[in-house]
Amino acid sequence: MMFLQDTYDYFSLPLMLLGIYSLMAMGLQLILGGAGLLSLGHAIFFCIGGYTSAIISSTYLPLITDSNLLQLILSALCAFLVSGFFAFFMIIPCLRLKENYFAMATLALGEVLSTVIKNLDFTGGIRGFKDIPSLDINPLIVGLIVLIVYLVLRRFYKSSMGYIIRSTRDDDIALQSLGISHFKSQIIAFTLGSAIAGMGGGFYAHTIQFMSPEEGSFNRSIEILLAVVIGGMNSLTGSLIGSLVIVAIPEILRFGPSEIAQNRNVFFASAVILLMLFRPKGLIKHGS
Amino acid sequence: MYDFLQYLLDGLAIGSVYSLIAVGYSLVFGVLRMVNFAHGEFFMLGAYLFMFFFNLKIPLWISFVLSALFVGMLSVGMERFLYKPLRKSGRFAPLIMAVGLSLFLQNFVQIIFSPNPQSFTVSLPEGIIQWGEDILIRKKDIYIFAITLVLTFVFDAFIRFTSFGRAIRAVSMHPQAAMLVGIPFNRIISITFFLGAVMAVVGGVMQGMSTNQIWPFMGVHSGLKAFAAAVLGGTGELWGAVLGGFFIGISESLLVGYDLSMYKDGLAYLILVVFLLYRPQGILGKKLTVKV
Repeated sequence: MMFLQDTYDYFSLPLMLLGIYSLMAMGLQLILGGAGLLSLGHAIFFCIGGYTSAIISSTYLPLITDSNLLQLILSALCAFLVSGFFAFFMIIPCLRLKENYFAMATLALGEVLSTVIKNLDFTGGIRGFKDIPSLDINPLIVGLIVLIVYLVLRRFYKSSMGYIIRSTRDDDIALQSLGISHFKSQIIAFTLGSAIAGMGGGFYAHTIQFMSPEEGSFNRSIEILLAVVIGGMNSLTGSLIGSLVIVAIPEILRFGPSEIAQNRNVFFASAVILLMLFRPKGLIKHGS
Repeated sequence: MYDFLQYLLDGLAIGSVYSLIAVGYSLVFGVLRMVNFAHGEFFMLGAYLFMFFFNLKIPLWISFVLSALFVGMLSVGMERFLYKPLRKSGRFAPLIMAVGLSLFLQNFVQIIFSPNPQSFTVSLPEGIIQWGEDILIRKKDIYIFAITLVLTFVFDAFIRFTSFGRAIRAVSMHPQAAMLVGIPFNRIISITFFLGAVMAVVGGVMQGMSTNQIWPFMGVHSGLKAFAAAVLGGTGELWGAVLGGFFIGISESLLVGYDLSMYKDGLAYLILVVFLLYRPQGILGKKLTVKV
């Protein structure tokens, strides 16, 4: 039994990180593979969600209920709503930009928001937010949420809105000529995807119990983008596999020679370059 | 009032470096309609290679020429072998490729040199000129500003009066029509990448000489701001990019001067968003036919 307990303890952190990355990757997959919008500021919603959870769980939530599970659910819900709210107001002006310009605008807005977070008082400023309650978060809960989100998104892709979102990606002009607004579907996809990332951020805050403005940096956005691209932009399952690759490889490399472990970013970057050269649509082929 | 003038002058020096990088972004965007995200890395690589050659006891000018040639060839190679195959494969492939390249170059430099900032031992003439009662100008800053202006004039003349320059302008006006009249499209693209990279190398070396320090992430740091400068000036416009660089440099220096330095790094991005949304053609740009 001791052995099982130790194994569980060892794997619980990477497992939770895997769940959190999967949430973020699925959110970005909906935006990139679903609606065809390249968001380079995805991590800022993760950051916003994390701070939301951090703030409400260390101040307001204990006043409402004593149950850790209920607090965790409420905290995740708030993270989801608040980051969705920010995403909604960010996307509307950005939608008049196309392709690369849209990507640049999301990148820039992400950096602007992270500068703002660095300068606010209630976020702890540049030193970060410490002592976030863990609320007994465990891999089981995170895994369950990932499963629910996965199933809901799968179902969502099959709904009429899901089809509209995907046809926005393929040909927005054809869609417009059918009298369907692609703005609405893009707004829904972006808001929902960012809100899911925000929920991931909430779980992250409880897992690590510390949040800093760096969590929303461009580098993390790139990591998630890699997860989605490795798995294949058009595949929801692919983004789960991509997150597995992103989280598992550093854990495995930890046992290898330390030179490789320290320089993992070079391997990631080379992987992206090779993928783009030989399989620009991602490793996994998607049926549609 | 004196304070304001002082910050303005400081800003011109910072802005010169942004301008030199922005020119490359702008040119490449002009001919290929593509944002070369990895362009900032040429700036970083230029500074590192210059230092590397210089430490081998190679004379100053030769180290500069070597690093410019090397980085220029690298950029041409990158375009040939990594960007060109992607021209037809989807909207995001080149951008993601550029992000990957940028990440690769940063980390590669970290491995070869060191993740920590390195000292840059070459320096422009030290010394301070006092002007009036309160305004102090570093001699370095005058050199940097002057070199930027001279280079931009040379570059402008190159684009205006040489046949290569005419070809670059033709390709950025209408690639298909340019190909029809026999302009070697791919060679022009290569030349554009080469020239942009050389300008970035000059910027990198000057940045190193100005702060006496180089670090692996200086490329992303200044590169993204330079990109903002290029958009600000109107992508595809040479003088627009230079003006945009000065604009961002001066506004950063003003923010720092008036005790708002915490907001400094967000400012360039804020300017970028505002310009993208409300004046996507930039300060000097003409209305684009492609709706952005």
